[in-house]
Amino acid sequence: MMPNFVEYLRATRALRIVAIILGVLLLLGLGLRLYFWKGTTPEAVVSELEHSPTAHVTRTQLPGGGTRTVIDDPKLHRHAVVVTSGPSFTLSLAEPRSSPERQTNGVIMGNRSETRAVRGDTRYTELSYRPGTDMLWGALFLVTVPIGLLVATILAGPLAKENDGHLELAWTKPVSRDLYSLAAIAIDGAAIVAAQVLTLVVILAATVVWAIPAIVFEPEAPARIALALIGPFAWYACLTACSASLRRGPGAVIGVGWVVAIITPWVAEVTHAADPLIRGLHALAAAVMYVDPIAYVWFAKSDVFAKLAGFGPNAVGAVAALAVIYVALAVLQWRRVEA
Amino acid sequence: MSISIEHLTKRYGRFTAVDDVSIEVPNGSVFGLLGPNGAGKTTTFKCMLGLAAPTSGTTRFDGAPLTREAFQRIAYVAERSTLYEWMSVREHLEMQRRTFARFDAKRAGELMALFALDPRKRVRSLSKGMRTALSVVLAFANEPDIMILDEPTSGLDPLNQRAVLKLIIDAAARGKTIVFSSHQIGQVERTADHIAVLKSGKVVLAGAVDDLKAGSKIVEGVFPSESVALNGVATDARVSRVERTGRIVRLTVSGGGDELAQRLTALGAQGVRIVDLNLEDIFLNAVDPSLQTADVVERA
Repeated sequence: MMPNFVEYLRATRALRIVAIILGVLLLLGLGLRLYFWKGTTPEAVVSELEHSPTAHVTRTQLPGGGTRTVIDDPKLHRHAVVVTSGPSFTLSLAEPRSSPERQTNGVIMGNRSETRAVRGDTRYTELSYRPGTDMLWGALFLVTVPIGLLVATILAGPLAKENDGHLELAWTKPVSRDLYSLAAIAIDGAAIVAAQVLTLVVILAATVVWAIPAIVFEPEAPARIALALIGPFAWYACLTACSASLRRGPGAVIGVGWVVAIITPWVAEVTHAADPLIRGLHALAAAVMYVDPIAYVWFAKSDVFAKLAGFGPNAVGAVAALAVIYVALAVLQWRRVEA
Repeated sequence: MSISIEHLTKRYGRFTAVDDVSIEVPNGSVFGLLGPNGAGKTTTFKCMLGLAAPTSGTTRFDGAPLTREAFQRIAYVAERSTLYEWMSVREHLEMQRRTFARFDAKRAGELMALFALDPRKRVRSLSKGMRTALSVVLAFANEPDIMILDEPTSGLDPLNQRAVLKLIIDAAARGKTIVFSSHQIGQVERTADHIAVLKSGKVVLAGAVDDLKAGSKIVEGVFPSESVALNGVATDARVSRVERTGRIVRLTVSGGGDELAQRLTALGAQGVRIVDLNLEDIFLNAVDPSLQTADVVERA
């Protein structure tokens, strides 16, 4: 039994759109990687420097277990310092400006970087590889929020969509209105999360083609991950609740909802205006932000929330509560709708 | 399954759409719900199925209130298309298959072939008639015990209208209970064994078609001119309705047909005949007050 097959179809179609967008982005990433895939690796550069017949190589063990290698090549006027510590690697190279350019595949991306500078007749190159410091789980999930919001917007208002001429089909199924609406919302919620997870996978895949990432589970990760996953769903629930009793599609509510969500935080930031009207608008916008899930996701750390309610640290709880309240409001309205 | 509607009333603000309607639909019958536009037929259907909350009154299926589980055995075809424009015909069938335990895929295939529906087509590309046909397919493929069909032949060509009527008759022969509305009284007459006529939300006539037809006759006379006075024939107590169409005068009589035919002959009718009442006569009798009394015709 799957009385919500229609919502399942809507959700899979939305996911298909997301998969196409992400697929195109991934292909672009791969294309860029192939474009930059020329020249040698940083390790090969070091090897070339070390094996020059005129090079003097000095290796020193560092106290932390790493190695410092100094390569001097007086004939070629090259001086290089290579420091390795576990998987970390840093090469500092000074050589004449007239030396042939070395194109490496270590562009500034992820945890591998390359910088070049020319001063006078000397070219300075810094190559480094530092694993374990630049990808954070929580931050990764927060990056998926825009895609989550996109899918939330596409799927928002499933009850209004049914109310737009399909109630006779929806309500003559052997399932209660409550269960029907909750199942539809659950399917959409799962689709939103699936889209975000898919985005995460694509981000990781796109990263791997540049460098193997070291992902750190930072202390804030649980809160960030929860906020990233609940925030878009709460926004979906907000739009669904606002449109649940409409006798047409939810398009207008979604449009107005986005405008309000975008405008209110900026109006809420205006706090020093002398004009009573502006102050009134500020108060109104500040109040709206309390019930706007997007505000918690984007502005949880902003001064506005710190000043208004101190919701910043408790953004996850606030967004979760809003999601539950909006779902309940949507279901309650759906109960009262008539065909 | 029998259906019992008891004192059903539905108000929208100050407007009463359905006014104290009570109807009994016997198990295994084909019940025609008739009425002019805005009479309350669709609202009655919606209240029966819980799609709209009645202001008062109840509907019982086999003596019990409607439950969600009962929808495994009830199918509804709405007056207007409720299909999803963006979905294909096949996806609609899949929706039914995943929802109704009694969905019969083989039967669905037969019905699709009957109406020549292409499963690959999206609903947005179907004509009004094909949408109606798909709605009928979805309803009948579930093998329901009760079918509530609101204008099930709307937009269909004559061949497909005939096909739908045959489906209704076949289903009734297999013991299914069918309630349907149609503006085409001929279709109702061909299929229904019971009818109710709604007017302004009220039931103005209800009963078995045979019973309603029994006892009444039509006396029809053709006069040489349109200005013949009926000289009291129209005010005869046995005449319930008089219609004049050009030179033709039709009397609906509850008795004394032969005598009234002789009186029309005496008034100069060139041809007089006595025929059985048809459903259209019964319907018009019930809903058209402008022709309800003889005085109107006499004055005309």
